[in-house]
Amino acid sequence: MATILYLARMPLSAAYGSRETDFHVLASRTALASSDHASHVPGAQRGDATAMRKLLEGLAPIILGTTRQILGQREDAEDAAQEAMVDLARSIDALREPEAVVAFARRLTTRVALRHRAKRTKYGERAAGLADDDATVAHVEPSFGIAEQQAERLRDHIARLPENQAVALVMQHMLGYRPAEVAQATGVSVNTVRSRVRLAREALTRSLAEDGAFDEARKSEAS
Amino acid sequence: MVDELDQLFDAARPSVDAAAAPQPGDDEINARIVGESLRQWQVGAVAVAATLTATKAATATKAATATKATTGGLGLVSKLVLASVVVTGGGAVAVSLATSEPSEPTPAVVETTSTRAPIASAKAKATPAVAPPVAEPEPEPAVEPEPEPAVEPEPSVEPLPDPSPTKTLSAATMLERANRSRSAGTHATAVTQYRAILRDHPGSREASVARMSAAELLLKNLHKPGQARRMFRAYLRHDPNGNLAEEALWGSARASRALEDPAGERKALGKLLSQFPSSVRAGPSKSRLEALESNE
Repeated sequence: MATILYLARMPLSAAYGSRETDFHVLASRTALASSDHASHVPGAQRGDATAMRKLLEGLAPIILGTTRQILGQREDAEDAAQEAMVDLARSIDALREPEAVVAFARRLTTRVALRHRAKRTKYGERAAGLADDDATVAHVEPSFGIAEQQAERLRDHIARLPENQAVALVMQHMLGYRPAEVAQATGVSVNTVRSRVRLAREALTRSLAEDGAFDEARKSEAS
Repeated sequence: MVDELDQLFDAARPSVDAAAAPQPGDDEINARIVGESLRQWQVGAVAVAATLTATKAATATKAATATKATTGGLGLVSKLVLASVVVTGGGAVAVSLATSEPSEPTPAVVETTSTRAPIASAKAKATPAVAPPVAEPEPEPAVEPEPEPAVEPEPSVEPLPDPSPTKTLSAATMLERANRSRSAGTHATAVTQYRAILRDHPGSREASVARMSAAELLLKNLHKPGQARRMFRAYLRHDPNGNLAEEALWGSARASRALEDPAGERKALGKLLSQFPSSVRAGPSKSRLEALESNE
């Protein structure tokens, strides 16, 4: 069980992109973990509290890990994980394919975490606006390294995208799901997922360019 | 530019991946999150059950009214109890329809709680229902007579709210109100409202959820571990095999720890380990028990 949980927790994002072989290995591991969680889904859907507990206990590390991927190592990652898990418990009836429970949980979690992130970013901007009208978007801890700062900035900009686009983008680019898996978890067609990701990338590129993020990335690479 | 976006994702990837790695203390966090989620899920389930039973009751009322209209038209009965429907399950609903004359409007009484006795105002309106009697649950004492160690830091008696404003509300409505207060951050009000459910609807499913919700607030937000522990223990007394028994034992242990009562904490942790050996709290419970033993 511990091994399965560990595998399910493994971020798939490292395998995203051209490394198709790695991706498939990791995806099959996720499927293995999913089948374990999936066994509790029918019971949970019937309202069996023991099955629901087992399902939530199995998914808790995955949900918490996902919120941290989007929110970083902060306290609100726990709040978001809590909210996402309640959402999951209450909407488990909507899951048609028990095998997709992990992707389903991560989709719900991504949505909740992005909302937390958007709220935090807005709050940060308002706070910054009081002190400096010229304050720009990114609100990052000065103690962070360059990579962490870039990650934070990227997360902030993603959180400003329309929710459906942001969820599709995060699931594909940060959590490592394939478009077909994102489609299964979000209940839309693969073409819709591709379209959402394309729109998200375009909007994200514009917004990062306006914020000077690419310039800074170039500078940091040069130095 | 799109390539640059991929480069940014690549640069961010180590940080994003590292964030997902398990950390020390996660077991505790996960257990807390799971417990709270189960509790909130139950609250939702109770609300859904109440809605479903209310819908069933409305349907039954409609059907009975139609029957009454028919029989009235035929002039067959002058005084007739037309229908009594009892729906059991997620929460019980008793619908009693009675008429004194066929032409009079039909009074309907709908209860949306599980096992409580009919409320006074409803009783006054309805003729005696044909529904089978329900067991009157043991009322929740305002202050449980359980002995508390001398270290109890706060007064154990909290004034109960004036019973009149909520007396006629269903348990589901009261629970919804209390949950709203909790969400709004008015924790003391929420606890008072949860207690009102225990007082007015002591044997209902809502009471079970209310007891745990109040206990958590008392422990975490209002810093009253003594009262919290009494609530957790009351849950275990009323519902020893309840879905939240593990949370209640864990809560009782935490409250005992806050009260600096190692004996109480050991007892709660020991019970938790024996009843839920494969729980995610088993590990933290074992570690804590070992720490307690080494401190002796």
